[in-house]
Amino acid sequence: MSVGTYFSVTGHAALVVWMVVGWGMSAEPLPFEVTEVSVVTGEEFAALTQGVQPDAPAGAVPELETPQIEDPAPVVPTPEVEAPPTPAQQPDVIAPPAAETPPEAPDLTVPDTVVTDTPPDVPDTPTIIAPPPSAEVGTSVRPVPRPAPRVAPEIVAPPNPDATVAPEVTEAATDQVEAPDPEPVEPADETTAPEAAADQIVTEAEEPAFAPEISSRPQTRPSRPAPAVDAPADDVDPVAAAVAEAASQATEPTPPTPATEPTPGLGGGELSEGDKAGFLRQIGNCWNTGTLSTGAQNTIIVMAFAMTPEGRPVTDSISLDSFTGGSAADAEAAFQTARRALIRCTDEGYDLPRDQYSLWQRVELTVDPTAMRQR
Amino acid sequence: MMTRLLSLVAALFVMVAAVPPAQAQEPLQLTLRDGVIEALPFALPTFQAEVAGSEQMAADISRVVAEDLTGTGLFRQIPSSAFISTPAGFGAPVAFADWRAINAQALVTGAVAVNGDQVTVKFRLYDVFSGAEMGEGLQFAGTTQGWRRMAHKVADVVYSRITGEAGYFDSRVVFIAETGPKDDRAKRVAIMDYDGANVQFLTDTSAIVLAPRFSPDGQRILYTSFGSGFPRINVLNVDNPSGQQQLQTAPGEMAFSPRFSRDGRQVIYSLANGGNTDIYRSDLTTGQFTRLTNTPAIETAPSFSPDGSRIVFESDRSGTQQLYIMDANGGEPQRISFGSGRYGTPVWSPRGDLIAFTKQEAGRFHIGVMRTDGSEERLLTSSFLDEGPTWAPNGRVIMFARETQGADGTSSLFSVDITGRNLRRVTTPQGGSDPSWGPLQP
Repeated sequence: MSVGTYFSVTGHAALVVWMVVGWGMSAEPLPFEVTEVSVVTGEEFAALTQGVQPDAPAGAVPELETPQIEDPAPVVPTPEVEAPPTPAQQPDVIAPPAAETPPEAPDLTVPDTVVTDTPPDVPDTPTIIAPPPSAEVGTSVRPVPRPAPRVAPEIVAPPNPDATVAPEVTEAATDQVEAPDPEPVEPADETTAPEAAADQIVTEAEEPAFAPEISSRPQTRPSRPAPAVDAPADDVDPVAAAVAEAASQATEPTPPTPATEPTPGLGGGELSEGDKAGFLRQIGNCWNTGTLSTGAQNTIIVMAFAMTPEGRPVTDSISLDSFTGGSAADAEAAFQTARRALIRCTDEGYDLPRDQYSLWQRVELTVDPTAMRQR
Repeated sequence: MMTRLLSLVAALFVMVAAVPPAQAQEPLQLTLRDGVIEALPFALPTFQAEVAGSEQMAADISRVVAEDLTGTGLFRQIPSSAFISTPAGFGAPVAFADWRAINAQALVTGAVAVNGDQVTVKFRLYDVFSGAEMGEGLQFAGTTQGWRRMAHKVADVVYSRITGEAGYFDSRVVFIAETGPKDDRAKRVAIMDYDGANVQFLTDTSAIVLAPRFSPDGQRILYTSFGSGFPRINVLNVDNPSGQQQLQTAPGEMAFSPRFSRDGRQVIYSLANGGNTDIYRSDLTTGQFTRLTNTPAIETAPSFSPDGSRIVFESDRSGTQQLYIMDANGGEPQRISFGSGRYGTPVWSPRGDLIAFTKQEAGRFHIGVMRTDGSEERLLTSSFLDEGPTWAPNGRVIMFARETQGADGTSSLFSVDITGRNLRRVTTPQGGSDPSWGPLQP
């Protein structure tokens, strides 16, 4: 082996060892710097370099067209601006003085409007009427109507703000007039009734003979036949069973959460026909169709409202949903009459089963006065 | 495994998607058909006198407003003796509980101020059980001479806000005022408020006059006069009764039973010539006339429909006196009355839905209404002699003349609701017949 070969082999071996042991063992990445760059278009770059804004996107062009905004007349037609001569077109409508007078001054002074409603100026004694013209007189010339007598209504300012805040007055009067709220009935002890509550002594061992076993309220519907009990199958797929259970639960109504005391029942089922008839009878006793206009008497309305658990309608919830057979004015008159009836006959709350509150929590009432019209 | 996983996902989906939201319970659905028909009780404390010396005027206006409302039969006034409290002032708080306690469903408060010959009336209407005001308060100002009109205006607004239809209190009626025995009765055209107040005579007793009819604007009156020996149709201006004109007719012709068209420019009437009576239409401006019927029968008492497109009249062309409807320009009429008895004096309702008429059957006279196709005939009155119906401006009330039996029998004016309720006599100084109800005054 020559010296040259020896040095060559040694050098290559050292390089291989260095690469494998020294450089190859170093796993740490080399440190590097990240610099964010943004891509700009050629136009932007040119703009930057020349101090000129690039062209805005096409959608923003109209926004920059400010000179058109300064275009005066065509944008706002003058006649429409002066359109509010509504008072001139409706001379009968006079602005309420309330808008012109401070609210604490209910004494309303408005310009007097002269009433020229003087009846025909004819004396009580018979007036000699000039004999009619001869028979040859042609058709009369239409008389020129004289200025019509007019009594122009003016809107009176709303009452003193105090008028709307009268809880003291109302409650004071209510206390005098209205009957006190009934005392809450204590639930009867099922195990031992108080002595004064029963006319015979009943021990725990025996059932009171008069104790009703079923409610006296009419049954809402026939009892369902007992479901057939299938033998449990051993090979029921649990997932399929879960699906079926979820589906069945989803179709059942969810009882709403009661709002206030007393806690209403959440009984399901259906309201009995007797309860419905009683509810309607209570409303009907206050539903006075005598003051309905003839148009309203031919108008059938549908109104909706919510009920409190105590059986009273929520006044603010009473709304007119729809109507048929009359004009909007007729429907409004019919609605107001029905609304008054609903509110007026609710002193004690409507006689509805409290344990079925969820069934009458919301009511949709169709009011049909057409039958009353014939009475 | 994959199948079970899909089933589990499906189950979760069903649970999430199918669970109803809260309050998903269907509302209770009911239908109300049975109510009551009764007068609505209202309270109307005497309007307050805001100015010293206005007390009497306030009391008078309050009284007229209350009389207007109760006169409809739709309202019942609660006597003041039942009041628990009275409003402290026009703008004072309202103790609704006090009014609820006496079952007042509506409350009308007001104030009157008289300054010289000027009077101001303002009022408010409350829905007692709702505890809210019905509409805005209104104020009327005018002269003391027109205080009754202001009271009627107040009542009209109250009536309208509660019933939903226009009132009729601020209106006038023209009629024939009658005095003297039956065989020598003096008749004059007179005008009055709807309630019989402020009667004014428009003609004298020198000629027999019949059937006055208001123009739609209430400014002119048509009537039939026998001043020339033959019946002629005259036109007078309410504000100037002395300036009359006469509808042109040929000598020997008899013109009667006139009525204005809805625009007041034309007159339809009956013209009898040679024993034949037909219906004509004349243009008051041009004088041109048109013959609308041409039969040997007696055809009279025409009345325009509200839109002016049709005319209802009575005719005996079928052998008995019946009601017919034809086009306003004539043409073949259609009979609408088929009941027993004789029908006459038809008048179209201002609303166009009904026709009022006089019916004679079995020795009795009736005022009735029927639909324009003749259906739903209803007889509202029955007496020895009821005739000549006329409609209130709102089409809710009918006024007519009733004559009592015997040589001393008198004729008076009555009104009745189209339901047949609330038959009332209209008080007039003398007897009255042939009423014609004018429009609401502006």
